[in-house]
Amino acid sequence: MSARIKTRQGPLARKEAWEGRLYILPWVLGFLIFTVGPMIASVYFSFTKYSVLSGAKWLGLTNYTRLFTDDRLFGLSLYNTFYFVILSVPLNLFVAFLIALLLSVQVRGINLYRTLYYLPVITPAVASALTWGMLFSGDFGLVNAVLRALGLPTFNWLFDPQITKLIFVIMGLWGVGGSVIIFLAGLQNVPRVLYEAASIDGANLWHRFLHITVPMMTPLIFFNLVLGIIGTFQVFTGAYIITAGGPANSTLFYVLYLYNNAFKFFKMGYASALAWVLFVIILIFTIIQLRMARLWVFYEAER
Amino acid sequence: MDGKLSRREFIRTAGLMGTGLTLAACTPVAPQVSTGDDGQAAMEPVVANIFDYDPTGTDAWVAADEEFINYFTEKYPDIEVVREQAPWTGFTEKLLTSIAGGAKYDVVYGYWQWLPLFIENDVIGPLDDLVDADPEIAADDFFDYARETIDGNTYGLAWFISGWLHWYNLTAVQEAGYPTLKEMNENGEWDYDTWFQFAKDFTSEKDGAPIYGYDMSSARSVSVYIMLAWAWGTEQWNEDFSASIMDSEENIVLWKWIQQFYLEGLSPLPGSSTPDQPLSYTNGRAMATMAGQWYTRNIVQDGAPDLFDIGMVPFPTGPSGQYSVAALNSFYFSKDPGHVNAAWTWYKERSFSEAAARIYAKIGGGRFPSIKKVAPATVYPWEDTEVYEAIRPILRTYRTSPKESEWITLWNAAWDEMLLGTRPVEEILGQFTQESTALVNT
Repeated sequence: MSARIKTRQGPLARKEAWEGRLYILPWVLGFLIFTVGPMIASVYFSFTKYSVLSGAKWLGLTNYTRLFTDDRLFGLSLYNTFYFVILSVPLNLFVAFLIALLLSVQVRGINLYRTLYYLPVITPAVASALTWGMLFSGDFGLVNAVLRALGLPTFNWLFDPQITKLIFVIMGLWGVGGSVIIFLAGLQNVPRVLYEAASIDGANLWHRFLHITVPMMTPLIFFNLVLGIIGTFQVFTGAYIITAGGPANSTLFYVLYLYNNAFKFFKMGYASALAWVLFVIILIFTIIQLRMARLWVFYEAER
Repeated sequence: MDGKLSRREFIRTAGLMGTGLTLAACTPVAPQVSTGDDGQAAMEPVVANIFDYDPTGTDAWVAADEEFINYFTEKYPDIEVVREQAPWTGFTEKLLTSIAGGAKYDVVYGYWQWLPLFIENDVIGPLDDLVDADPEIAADDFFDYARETIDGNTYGLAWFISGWLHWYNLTAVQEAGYPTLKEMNENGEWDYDTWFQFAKDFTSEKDGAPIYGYDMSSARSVSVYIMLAWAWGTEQWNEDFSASIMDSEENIVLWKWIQQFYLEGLSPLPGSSTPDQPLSYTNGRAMATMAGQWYTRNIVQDGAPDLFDIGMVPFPTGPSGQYSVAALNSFYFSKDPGHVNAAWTWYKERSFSEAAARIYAKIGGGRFPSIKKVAPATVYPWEDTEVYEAIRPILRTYRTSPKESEWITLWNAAWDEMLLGTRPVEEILGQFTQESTALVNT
């Protein structure tokens, strides 16, 4: 039986509450003006022809109908992005989880390893992209130099539509440090007592991993999955810097196409429509994940 | 009160200040641009607002800019030049978003690819009335190739005109006992067959890395490809830009001809080189390339004259003749300038004065003047002025299509497919032509 205690705020507490609201006001104002405001404006602009410099001209649903009926690059950029998401998200989760498992083992210098694996996350994205571009260069890249030294065939990695998207998937692994940290925190919070009990019952390492570690980590796997899908749908920097969408539009990802429309062609209305379509796609995926989470995510507090 | 702030008072003050600053930051501020209207104090200088290219990294250009500004402000003490600069990458984004944010510029740096975008967004206006009203100059003073014209209106009078030509490794050619390309040109033997043969003859390997006979990468640019198209008797568009003619027989033959350079490994594919190890003519990894006269600057910066002798020759003669495209860099004039006279004075001085020609000659490029009375200038002893003079009569200007920047993304994708050879050229150009025509008619 639990008791509900209702407290009545005194004048001092009420005053403090108001002061608290006042203190968060700058952030709230910033959020309303710089985030909510532009979001609402972009809904309106998505129904207009708008170039930023001249007034918006109402078009109704034209931008949206054009997207779905008359824009080959919309479909292609969506395909490229889905391809990337489908390969990148599971691979990133798997690799991040694997690294977190390794980094949870107490060995000498473990803090150094943890730092090293996190370093790429704080490396500027542009610098990383340029470095990857140099590694995969056709004639002088390190990757081809190694292949050549081993007597293996080399590739023009960044100019082969069959390969370029895969290069971006590999590049994505460079940034798994963020997920690793989350997994690592989760692994350290799995109660030791569960492992001890399982050991007494005769469970081996694999069984303990499969029946204790994995279920206990499902909330964090779910968290990284949701954030991973949201993030990878917005893949941009590498493609913008290294390939500019090429070759033959094979790395024209959705957000790059959106950016081109907004800031190269100054078709802000059309770009706004693209942005809202992406928002809806991500929203649908997130809702599906939330629904499916009930089937596989284990929350200890619910039991 | 002891004059000290309690913790609560401190937090409250900080919160209020933060709120105040946020609100202040969100309050629109009137642009601090003088209009030069009559109401201004008589002695106060009028302002010319310029949005200029930022040449940081090209020391000679930075120095020339500084020298020109000093020259101008000394000559016109009553005009204050307010100059904002942006690098080439993202130039249009920065300019147009600044204007959208309330900034006003009288003169903006220009580039032919941006022209339709600027016109469509009312950023710039035609110069014709200004030229007509100016007693110091006349429309006839300018070479035809110096004008950036759309629909009969002139939007730019180039300050930098650079003809395109071939640069080749003269040392390697002479060592191989090969006739110089200049000689071949003079003997009427410099055509598309000899160009291809040259690339084949000079493609080799050194230290496990390829030496390419020709670096064809510039041909990807639509304004460079046009020279080849002219030579083959075709173009990219019909007369009024209502339809693409990229599926013409000549274009198909030409694309197949270019494709051979890549399929036979005579030219480096995109993605081959790295920033620290570029595959270029200037470091001897390609035996020849095509570039504008401005390329003299790269040649000097990269130290090519210390490695080999520089050879220069006009583009070869094709089935329909020999042409060179005039690469133009102009300034454009605002549609609604704050102070017309000040801005126009700056425009004229910067674009086609004797002083500007003298000062900017130092950035290299053997530039052709836009105005007939100004003499062309060369800087480096190895520049072949005879070749420059041979280019002058075959100069033509590229016609910028409507929706140029959007069209170029389609072009690049089609070009990639051609290089990769994933589909027959006819099929690639068929689809590209359809999409291009649809684009300009949307």
